[in-house]
Formats: sequence, C-alpha cells, structure tokens
Amino acid sequence: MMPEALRTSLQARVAAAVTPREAAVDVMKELQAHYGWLTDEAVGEAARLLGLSELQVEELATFYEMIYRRPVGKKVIHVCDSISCWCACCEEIMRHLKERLGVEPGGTSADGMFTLLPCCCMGMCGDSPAMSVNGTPYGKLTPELVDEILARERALAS
Amino acid sequence: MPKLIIDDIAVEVPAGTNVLEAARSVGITIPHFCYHPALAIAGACRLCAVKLLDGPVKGIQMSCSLPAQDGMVVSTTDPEALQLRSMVIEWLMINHPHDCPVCDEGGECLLQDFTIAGGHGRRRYQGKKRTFLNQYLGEGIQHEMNRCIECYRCVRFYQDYAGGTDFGVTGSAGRVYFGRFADGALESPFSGNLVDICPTGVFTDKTGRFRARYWDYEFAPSICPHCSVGCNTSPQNFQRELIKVVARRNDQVNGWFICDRGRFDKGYVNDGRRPRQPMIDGVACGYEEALDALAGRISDFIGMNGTGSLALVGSARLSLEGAILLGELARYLDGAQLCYFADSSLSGGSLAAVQLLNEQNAASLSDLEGADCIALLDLDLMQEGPMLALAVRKAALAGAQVYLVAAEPGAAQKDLPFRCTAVGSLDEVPLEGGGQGGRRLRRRRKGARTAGPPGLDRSEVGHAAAGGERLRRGAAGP
Ligand code: SF4
Ligand code: FES
Repeated sequence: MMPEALRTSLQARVAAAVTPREAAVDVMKELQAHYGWLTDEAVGEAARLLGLSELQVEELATFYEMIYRRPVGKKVIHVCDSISCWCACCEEIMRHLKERLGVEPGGTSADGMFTLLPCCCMGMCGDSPAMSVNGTPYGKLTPELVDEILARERALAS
Repeated sequence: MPKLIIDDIAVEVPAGTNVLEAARSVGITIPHFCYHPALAIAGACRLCAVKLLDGPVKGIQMSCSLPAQDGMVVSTTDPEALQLRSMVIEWLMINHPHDCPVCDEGGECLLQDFTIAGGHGRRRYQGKKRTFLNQYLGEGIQHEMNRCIECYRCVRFYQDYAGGTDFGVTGSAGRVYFGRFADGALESPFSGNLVDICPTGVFTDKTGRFRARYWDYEFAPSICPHCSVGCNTSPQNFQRELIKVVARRNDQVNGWFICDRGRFDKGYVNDGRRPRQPMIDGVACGYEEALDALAGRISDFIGMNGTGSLALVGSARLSLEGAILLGELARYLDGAQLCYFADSSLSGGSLAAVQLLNEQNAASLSDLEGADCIALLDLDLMQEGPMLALAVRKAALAGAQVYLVAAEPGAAQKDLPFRCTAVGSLDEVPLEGGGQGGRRLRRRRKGARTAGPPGLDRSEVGHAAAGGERLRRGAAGP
C-alpha cells in the first residue's frame, strides 16, 4: 500500500496534467522509487490514479527501460548499446560487467547489489562508451574504470 | 481529384486517397499487412513499398501512407520495389513458426498469401526464433503469439476503434507482445474481430478450430439474426454444420466488423434437436411433399373453420424475405389473421415508427457515424444493437455531441465505449451550446439522429421523431 502522502502528491500531479496519461511516467517513477520496482500492486495503483486500465499502464511501463517490472538490485546499471557506444566497443564493457558481476544482462549480482541492463542512447555519445549507475552517468569507460566505479558505488551503498 | 499513373494505367481518385487504394481501384493489389481501410495508418510493416518514377515525390515509398497526388508515376513492379518487398517479407517471417499445417488460419491467412505473392519461399535465417507464452483470452479466441508480425492491427482495432482497454501492446523492439495484463477473457463485446483483422493466426476462433479448411467451407452472404442492426456476415459451413461466422463488409451498415454475439453465438444453429429436413408427422420426407401436405392441411382447416380462424404468426426477428412471404400468404388466404408481435404496444410502436420514417429522417449506420449530434432514447445500446455503439463512438470521436435520455442513466451508460451526456428527457437536448463546459455544438451540417429501443409506444415514437425533426431543423442554419 502506498503511503497517504505519496497518494496525495500523485493525485495533485495527475490533476495538474492536461491529460492524465501525460503524468503516467512521473507516477510510475514515484511508485517505483517507493517500492523499489514497479510491482503489480503499483501498476494497479497507477492505473487507478491515472484513470487507465492496468494493461494501459503496463503498455507504458514495459516500453520504458527505466521502469522495472521485476525486482532489481540496490543499484541498476544501464549500459548504452546504441550506435555511438557500439562503435566505441560497448560490447567489451558489457562483457566485462557480465564477468565482474557474474550475471547476464537482466540479472542481479548474487549479493543483490547490482542489476545489469542494456539501454538505448543516453545522449552521451561524445563520451562513449557510456553507462549509468542509479542515474549517475559515467563516460569514456574502460574495463579499469568500470572496476573503479563498481568499487566506489559499492562503498557508497554501505 | 488527383490524376496519376500506376503501372501505365491512368487513375483518377478523390483527394485524400492513398496510392495503395488508388492502385486497388484499377485492380492492382499491392501487398500490405498493417494497412486496413477502417483503421488509422500505422506504416508499421513496410510491405506496401512501390517506386515513384516521376512526379512530386520520387523513389521507394510506402503506398499506404502516401496520398495520391497529381503527376505521380507509380510502379508497383519495379525491380527495386519487388526486391524490397521480398526482403521485408523474409524479415517478417524470421520468427514466424513453420506451423501452417496445424494452424487454423491456414488457407485464409494474409501472411501466407503475401509471403508467396511477395516472392519469399526459402528460409535463409538459421538462428533462434523469438518465442512467447500465450494467454488465455476467454472461450472465443485462441492466442498464439509466436505467429505475430507486429502490424499493430489488433491493438488499433481493439483500443482505438472499439474503445476496449484490457488488450494492447506491451514491451518494445523485438519483444512487443499483444495481449492482456493477465490471463482472462477479453472484455470488449467486439473482441472477436481480432480473428478477422489479424493478418495471420495469432487469434483464431476457438469455437470452430480444427474442423475444416477454408476451401472446405460453403459460404453464403448472410445477415446476422441477433439484433435489428442487420450486420452482414459470411457464415462458414461444413457438412451442414455452422463452423464459424465472419464479418462481411457493408459500408452502409456494419463496415468491416460484427459484434461477438453475432460471431460466437451460434450453438442454436447446430443444436442436434433442430429439424434438419422436412417431416410429416415426424417422418422425414422431401420438400415438395411437405409443402403439399402443409397446403392440404391448411385448406382442410379453412374448409372446416373458415379463414377467420387461422392465424399466421411471424416475429419481429424474421428475415425481411420471410416477413414479406408471410404477408403474401395471408393475403392469399384472404381473411386469415396475420401477426408479428407478441403484444399490441409493440406493434403500435413499430407501426408509428414506420409511418413517421421518411427519406429525410431515416438513418443508416454510416449516417450515424457522420452525425454531429446524437440522442439515444432510453436505450441499452450494448443490448439492442452493439454495432450501433461503434458507430456512435466514431461520431463522438469526430466531435459529435451524444445525449443519453434515460430515467436512470448510470446503468445504461456504464459499458458504452464513448462519452455521453445524460439528460432526463428529449426536450433537454440543447439545440445550441450546453453540453460539457458550455462548448458550442458544431454546426449540425450532417444532421442529428435519434435512436430508441423497440419497446416504445406510439406516442413516445412520435415524440422522438418530433425531437429528431427539431434537431434536424436546427441543423439547417449556418
Ligand atoms: S497479433 Fe496479429 S494483428 Fe496484432 S500485431 Fe501481431 S500480426 Fe498484427
Ligand atoms: S501496409 Fe504500408 S507499411 Fe504496412
């Protein structure tokens, strides 16, 4: 169940939108921040807030890669695999992360710390290859730099 | 009216016609999957490619989303267009299972037809295919998502055209999935049209699967017997059994679609207790023999009791042909009682409606779709004529004001696939302004329509007709 304060603020957000659909991404992100991922319960709550059906929320939720419809680790790593990063060997970065974390894309490391996901262009082509960890962008990646970042993010989390 | 040349044939089409339809008007079929005349353009499949050799645009173009323009020179057979189409098919077929022999769509599958027509006959792709889990969608429709070619026809029909909210598209890129949030029966009373509209076998009619192939069926152009809208259908018969019912296009009535009652509700036709052949006193015989016996018995009866004691009983659900023949029989048996209704208020209402109907106030479903103002008179649209609801929805989406005259609006309003304003009586339907937020009504150029249920009595019908007339006159001004 979402807390009353969250409900009230989301209701206000929906009311301020020209059409409720427009507020859908904000509502899903807020609910995801609260639950850790967009649970089935959260989909239902979003649907009721937005006046949409659960399916219509699911349509949007599953379109956006930063909305998680499954449980994720403490931090989510998005590795860009669009054209610029691909030209800059993002596949090597992905391979390195898979090895370090011991997971395939979509998986969560055994300690529950990191979930690894590929993603579309983050607008960091100038700094490719790029990734983000819980929203913090990192560019000009090398395997060494990735190790440093993982260590730093792990330290920050504890 | 743009004039263009398609494959050396001069074509003139109304402005706004796309090149695909322009070609169709002179008998050239350009292969297509996502394009459907009743739905908004998606440009999703890329199969309808043609090459423009000259004119305002040049090169390879998608004919479904290209409006015909003056001076266009179009080739549907240019090698570049042909090659592109065959490559598009090959790529659409990459994930498609090799299951035609066990697929109920086989033989009536647009994908089969256009794969062959598009020139793709040999699979080169050796990789793994993308696969999905299917959903339970109710007793009407079988789901087989692996066959999907992502044309988006289904969701454009289900949500955009029919106003359903429980079926749609999830995921992105190569993972798009067409289904529900969770397993469960489709809620839309028009869900069965997915069977007709999907170009391949993702949705097949569960009530008639694995019984026969398309070429086995006997077809006859028919009219749905379930309500008075009279949607055109094409029943598929095999060995004297009704296997499936599909929609038959009629632009004045049902367009391309029918409702689920018309499609799936057919058990009574195949009921084993239904007499399948003429019988005399329970003994099977030929038609002529049976008719002779019937005529003999009627004349015996009349000889004994007089024609006045004979009642010929029809029903408002009788087909027009049957109703007319019954009337002729009554005229022939001068003096026999003829009746179509179970009580006199029903017959009074129908009579009044017939007397008041004229060329100006009679409306077809397509008139309804183009109306600017619609008043629904104490009517449960989803019961009385579900396809009417889709016509009203179309008008409402185009900006028509819809009023529901109802004593208890809540219940009747609940399942309607469009927004309407509830009013207490027909007199409250405003001629100008009113409605939500005082928005002015658009000029009722295309006139207003009233529709009511069959149970109205004579004075109610008269009142409705007068209301319609008042609205219509309101329409005449600038
Ligand atoms: S399910 Fe059928 S209609 Fe829907 S996108 Fe797939 S192929 Fe097209
Ligand atoms: S029919 Fe034109 S792109 Fe699909």
